[in-house]
Amino acid sequence: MGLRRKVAIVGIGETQVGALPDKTCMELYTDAAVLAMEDAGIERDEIDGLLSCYTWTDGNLRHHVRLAEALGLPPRKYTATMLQGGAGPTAALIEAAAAVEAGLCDVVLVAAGDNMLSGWPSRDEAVKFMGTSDRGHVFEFEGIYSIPMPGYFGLLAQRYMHEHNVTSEQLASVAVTMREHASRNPNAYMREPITVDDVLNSKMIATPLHILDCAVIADGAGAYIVTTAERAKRCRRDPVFLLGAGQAYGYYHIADIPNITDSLARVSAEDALREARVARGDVDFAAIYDCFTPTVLLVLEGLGFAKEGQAGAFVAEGNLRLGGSLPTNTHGGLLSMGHPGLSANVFHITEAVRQLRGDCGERQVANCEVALVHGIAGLESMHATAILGN
Amino acid sequence: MVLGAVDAQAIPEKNLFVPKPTRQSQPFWDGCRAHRLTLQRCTDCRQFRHYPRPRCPRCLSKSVEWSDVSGNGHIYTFTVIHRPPLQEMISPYVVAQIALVEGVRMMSQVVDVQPDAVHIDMPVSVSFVDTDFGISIPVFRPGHHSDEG
Repeated sequence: MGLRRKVAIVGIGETQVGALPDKTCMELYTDAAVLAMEDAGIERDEIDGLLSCYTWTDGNLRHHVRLAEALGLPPRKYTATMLQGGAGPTAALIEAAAAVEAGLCDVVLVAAGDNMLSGWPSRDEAVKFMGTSDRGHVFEFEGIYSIPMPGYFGLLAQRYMHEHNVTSEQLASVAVTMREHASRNPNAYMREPITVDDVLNSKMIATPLHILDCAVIADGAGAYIVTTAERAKRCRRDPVFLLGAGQAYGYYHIADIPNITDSLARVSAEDALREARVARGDVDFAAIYDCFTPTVLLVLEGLGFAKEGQAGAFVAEGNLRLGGSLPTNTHGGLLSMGHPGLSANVFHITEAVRQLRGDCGERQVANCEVALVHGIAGLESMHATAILGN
Repeated sequence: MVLGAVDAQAIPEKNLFVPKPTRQSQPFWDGCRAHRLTLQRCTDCRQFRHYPRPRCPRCLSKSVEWSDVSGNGHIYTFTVIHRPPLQEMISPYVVAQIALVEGVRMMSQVVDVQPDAVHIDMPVSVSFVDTDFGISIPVFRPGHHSDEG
């Protein structure tokens, strides 16, 4: 691909994530955007590219234009709304990098915000939406069987646990680790530590997933700014470079997955690592989309950090914790920092940037030089991997 | 209306929603109404496919016929739903991916069996839930239809 060290992230912004009923989705979006500009030391009018990562609660097909209007920013040269679901923020990084490298624009603002917790009339409405929406096609043959969102991932998890000796305790250890990390993140929603027993005793939603195996619904937004390596020299902070990236797309319906336990993360990661000229052992920090606990295990194996069927043991042994072999989601992830809707993957990116800048305080990974960010969309059908370095 | 939102008629007592057939899928649902499971089959490479789509995913041919299948398969994976998408629904119920003997998979529910007794690789066969909306919906129950069926 040829993007290695050509573009950099020069600014990040992040709102509080949690119950924010007094904020509209657009307010969250614009708050994060302004924070990113301030962090970068870039003036609003220097931005000539804009990518919106859409929103469940407040979306329309030209959300990027609405966002530009709300920021007083005429979308000058390059702008779009990413429709890559939960992988939007990582896919946007690749889009922005390609646009900047191609000379379509010089400074791209990427923003992702959502408010599934407060943006629906009621919790039941939110659950109904997630069980019946975006499934306009899936709905006719799959959604008619009344499948809540966790149910789709329960189907994946159950097969994975059948093929390998993976236990509910190992799934729970993912959630426990994410919560431990969130306890050190003032911006996270759920910060009280939990135990494996807490997870196993929490309400069963769709086997094998208990409620604590599922991301916590929240409100929140994040943003980041991408520019050329040259322009990055004049920004407030040291740049965080894109070293490599990859994407992989497969099926739409679960019925079309050839092998449920062979994650497409394998494909996107191969491209990203090859372009970055980075070996897996060189990755100091990982930020992996964690909508449900089994997702993390499947992706760890797809990314090649654990052998097939071994990710459960890998996590239970503490490898994702600070001081472990692969500190992961030190911000708490979707499972504990929060899952506003379509924005959560932006927090993987902002945390990766913070780690590479050395800004993480008590959750800092020592000598962090290389970070891997991974976003997922749909029913684990779209994957995007990016490798960042300082 | 939010992009992708579905305004679907629910049948809470069956834990189902009513599908809206399209021109492409109408033969499938016509078959279900007559209690027949019928799938698209490429007439060039003989591959069955499901869910309905314009071309054969293996050879890209548009030449297709609808062909009744046995209704037999096994459970490829499943999940027991305890928190349905609508409060009025009655849980627990079993959602599953069924691997049909003809080589395709489909989503469905597994009925007439205790959720605790459901397991991967369990043989199942199709049955149909008639609704008041002119549509019958395929579900699966334990055991296979015999060949003389």
